[in-house]
Amino acid sequence: MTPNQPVRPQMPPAMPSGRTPHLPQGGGPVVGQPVNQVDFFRHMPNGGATVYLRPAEVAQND
Amino acid sequence: MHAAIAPAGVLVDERRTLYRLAGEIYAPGARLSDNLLDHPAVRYELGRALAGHEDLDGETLFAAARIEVADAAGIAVVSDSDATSKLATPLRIIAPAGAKPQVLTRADGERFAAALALVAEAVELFRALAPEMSDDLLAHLDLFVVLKSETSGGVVSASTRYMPGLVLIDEPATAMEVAEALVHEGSHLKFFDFAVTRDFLDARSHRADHFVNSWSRVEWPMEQAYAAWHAYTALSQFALQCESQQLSPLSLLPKAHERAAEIGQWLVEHQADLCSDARWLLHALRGTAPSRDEMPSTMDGDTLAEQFLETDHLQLVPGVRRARAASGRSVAATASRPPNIFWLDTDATWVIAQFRGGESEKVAPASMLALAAEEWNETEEAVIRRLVVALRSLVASELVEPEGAPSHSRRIR
Repeated sequence: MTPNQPVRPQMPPAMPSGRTPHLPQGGGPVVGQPVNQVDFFRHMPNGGATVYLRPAEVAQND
Repeated sequence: MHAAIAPAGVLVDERRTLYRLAGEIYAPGARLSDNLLDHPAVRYELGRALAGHEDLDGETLFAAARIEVADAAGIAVVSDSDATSKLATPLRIIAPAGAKPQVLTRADGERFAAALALVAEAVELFRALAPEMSDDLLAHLDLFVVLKSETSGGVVSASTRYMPGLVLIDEPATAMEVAEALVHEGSHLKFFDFAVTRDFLDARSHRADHFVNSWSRVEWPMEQAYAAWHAYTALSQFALQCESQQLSPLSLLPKAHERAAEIGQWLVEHQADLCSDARWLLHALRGTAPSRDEMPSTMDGDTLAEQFLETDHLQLVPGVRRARAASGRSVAATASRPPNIFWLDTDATWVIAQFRGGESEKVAPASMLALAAEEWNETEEAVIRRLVVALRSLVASELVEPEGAPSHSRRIR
């Protein structure tokens, strides 16, 4: 059932750090539809994994 | 931040409720404990069944969970000497091309002991640096695996949607790199739990454009782009707590903010393909005003009341199963194989709970309305509006059906 070829996020070298995002004042739960379907199981994407690889392997694999 | 949608404990309880319902469908009588329902291998088997693979029974679930672990400051680290065989599926899923990762276990003696000590140190470090974030993310981590470095094929850290709750890392050199992996992969695990309990992704997102990042030109479907954005956002927050820490040369912390911003901007441009909770979290974490979905109604109270009361009876669609979480929301499954799974908000849960006698019970809208008016402490118009909105959604999802004279029975739709 599960695929063999992960879709891999690839991550090379460094940049500056960031700011903390702030939650807007008054933020809260979403008012959406009363009934929501769970599609997560029906949809089985190829890969389905998040793999962080060393940059050397990134170059090798791509 | 996440707690505005649901605190970690609520999310975990709702996730268990869903998997427990799946267990009752596919392994009736198995009586799965919370520990079993949290086990990534059990969730893999139940998820596989929900995806349409029917070869599941209780014994398969119990067998899947049999793996020895050691404790690392409250985190279960796989120690089983047969772990490479027992975890063959996730190892295959995350393996880089040509690699066959093997699990570091107690059979590796001092090497395993050293890795276990580093993981424990990392958990304590994470808790000390970012106590709220560690509570929020570690609640979703159920099994931790260390790979033998000579077999890992370059994997730094990994997780998979097929076995949610599991994190795999390369054999570590420092506690800080493990702590970063806990943030990175823990964010993915939290996202997996959002995706099965909240309104995050549906068929639209699967058909949506793909994102191509600027740093490696890799193409991600929307689900993966959202997961990556979520993780980079958490990493960028964690980076602020780590300024005094010595980072690994492979650390993503220095570049997390920039990447989160890039992916987030793309997601904003494609937000029409996201569901309401995913959209809300996107805006909330980016610090922009979240757009709130309004309850769908363009009709006045009299029209709604007329429609509602003209339906003769309501009843559950045969074979619908449901289970209620501690939050007051409930999960329902249709009789089809595989079942369609739905989450119901508290109003829809209240409506469906009125069918106390199950699918044979017929409930008249007027009596439901009278009871709701008594219990909800709202104006009649507000009660009718909430009931109609909930019922429309339940009928559209084929969980409840209007029954009675044909000319009236469609009105609720």
